[in-house]
Amino acid sequence: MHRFILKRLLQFIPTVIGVTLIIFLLLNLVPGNAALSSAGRLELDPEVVAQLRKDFELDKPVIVRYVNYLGRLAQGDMGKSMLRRYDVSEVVFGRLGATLKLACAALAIALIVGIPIGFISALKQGTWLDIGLAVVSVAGVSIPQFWLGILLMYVFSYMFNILPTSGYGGGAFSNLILPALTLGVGYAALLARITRAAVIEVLAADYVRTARAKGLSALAINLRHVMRNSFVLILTTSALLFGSLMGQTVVVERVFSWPGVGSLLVESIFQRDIPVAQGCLLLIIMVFLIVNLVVDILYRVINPRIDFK
Amino acid sequence: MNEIKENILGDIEKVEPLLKVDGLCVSFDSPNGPVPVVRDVGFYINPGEIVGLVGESGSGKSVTALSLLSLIPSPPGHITAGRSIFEGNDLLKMPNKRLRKIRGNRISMIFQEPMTSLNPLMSVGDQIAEVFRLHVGSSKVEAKELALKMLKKVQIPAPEKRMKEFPFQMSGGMRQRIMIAMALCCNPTLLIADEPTTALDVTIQSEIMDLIIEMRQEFGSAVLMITHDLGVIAETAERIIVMYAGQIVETGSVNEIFDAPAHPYTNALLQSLPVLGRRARFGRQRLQEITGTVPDPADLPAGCAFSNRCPNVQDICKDTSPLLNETNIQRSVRCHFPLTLNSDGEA
Repeated sequence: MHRFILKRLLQFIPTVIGVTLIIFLLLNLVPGNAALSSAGRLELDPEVVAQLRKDFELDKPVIVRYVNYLGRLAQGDMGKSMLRRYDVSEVVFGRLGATLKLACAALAIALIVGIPIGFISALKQGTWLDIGLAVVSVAGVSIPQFWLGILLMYVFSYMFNILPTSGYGGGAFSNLILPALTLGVGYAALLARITRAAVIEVLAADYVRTARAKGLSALAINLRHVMRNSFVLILTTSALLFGSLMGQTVVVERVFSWPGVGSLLVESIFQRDIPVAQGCLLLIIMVFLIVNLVVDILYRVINPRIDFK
Repeated sequence: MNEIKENILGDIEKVEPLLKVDGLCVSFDSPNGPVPVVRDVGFYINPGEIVGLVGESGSGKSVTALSLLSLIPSPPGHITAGRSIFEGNDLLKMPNKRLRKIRGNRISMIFQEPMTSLNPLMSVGDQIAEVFRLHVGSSKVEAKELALKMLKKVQIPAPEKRMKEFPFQMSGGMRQRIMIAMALCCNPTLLIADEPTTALDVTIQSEIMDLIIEMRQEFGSAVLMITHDLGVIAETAERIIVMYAGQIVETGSVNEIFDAPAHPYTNALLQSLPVLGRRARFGRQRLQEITGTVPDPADLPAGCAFSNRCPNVQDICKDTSPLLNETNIQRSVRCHFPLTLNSDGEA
């Protein structure tokens, strides 16, 4: 087990290098950057522009810039913002908390709502309840988040005035509810469908018939034989969902002015503040990779069939 | 002669059958309405007896067996009629709660696929112990000890180590031993073995059969042995029930069935069986196959279900279904023109 974790951690290094390369090339090959456009707007001296180019190494070839970037990154330095001259790592990590809070709250909603709904649909397969839940789930998956966000805002903040429209509110729980719901509903619906499919697959398995032939009650069969086997299938998907959830926060953070990595990413891209955008992307991807690692380990704990070697 | 026969009959009738199935009908829903898969099946099993239920794939033998314990997937399967009297009670009318006390306890089952019939995420020890916990009410520790005992009984090498292992760490034969151990935990009076050796290697097949016979002697259970392979039950069963297209077509003792099959289908099954020395006896070079296939249960022939494959088919067979004619309690045949014995005892 320890060797497995170590091996997976070592695999991180080439993955992260690959990720940085793609992020760096994408952002740096796009024309325009904050340093020069801000300078241009103020109609600065050519001397100042030259100084800015030098400060941000814009006079050097992309490859050299990438190698230097990687070197600094290895020392924990993500560079400085082109606009405000702050340390990227400080700001980005400062925003990570808010994003993780939002993503975890949304995931919690998805798990708490989605898995039981999926289980019930599977056990009541083909009944009106199952069909009704299927309609609700499809609707849940299909609703665009920006629209749902605005709708929730309209209902709960404007009509009933019981929850704040937007903002972080200094970390108040009431501020978290609407964005987490907006983000969580779609995933809850998706997870309900996945759970239903997984449970139906397990219910048809021969070992469930064996369990019935043993004389176990439906409850005991579901708890001991069906649940655990379907969780193997559900777990992988939930983890992948969490990864895409991190990416989806961008939209929801934007709608609710949530001060997370996602909204910072959008701002920095609009402002062509390349170091900040790089930092945000790298962080989101790192979280994704770490979640995957945790899932791989959990997967082995649940499922004895996977060898530890 | 008649006197002797009556005496035998009298003896047979004295024994109260352990299980008596009557008029069992099972159908499965399909897009075109319900399809009858088991049609008016009735048979009995005496205590401690081994009965073979034989038929091709799709003849309804597994569905019959699963229906006895209401284990057919429902929907789409429905038991539409019939009784199944076990120790005085009708299993088919029994509330689920009472039936659960019989399943795995008084009547237990072994399935065809040892590869998929065990929970892949549970150690085999726990899976056996589960039965003791449920039916005997043992504590966790007791259940474990009893499970270990069962593993020893079914001759699993290094049972202490195997207890903690998972099904994927075992071979097919080993898993079938686990299934047998699980089935025999509560000393069942009836063991239903649904093609217990079909999925196994030939060498393992006989080992598992031997184990089932040995276990039956030890536990005294009656066995309903379901198979498509007449060879498997030739040496083990006492009576044979032959099914075709959801119906019983012939019943009889092993000797009667093998020496003087009355139904053309049974005869054809026997002809398709490779037997040592058979070439000399029959003067034939090739194994005889049964031409055609089992009819689709949704589209059965109008008369006898076997009429489209029967070598002796007559006009009446094509429009009138034959009834199951009982010669005596254990001998019956469903045919308008049952094969008669000739002087050699051959059909």
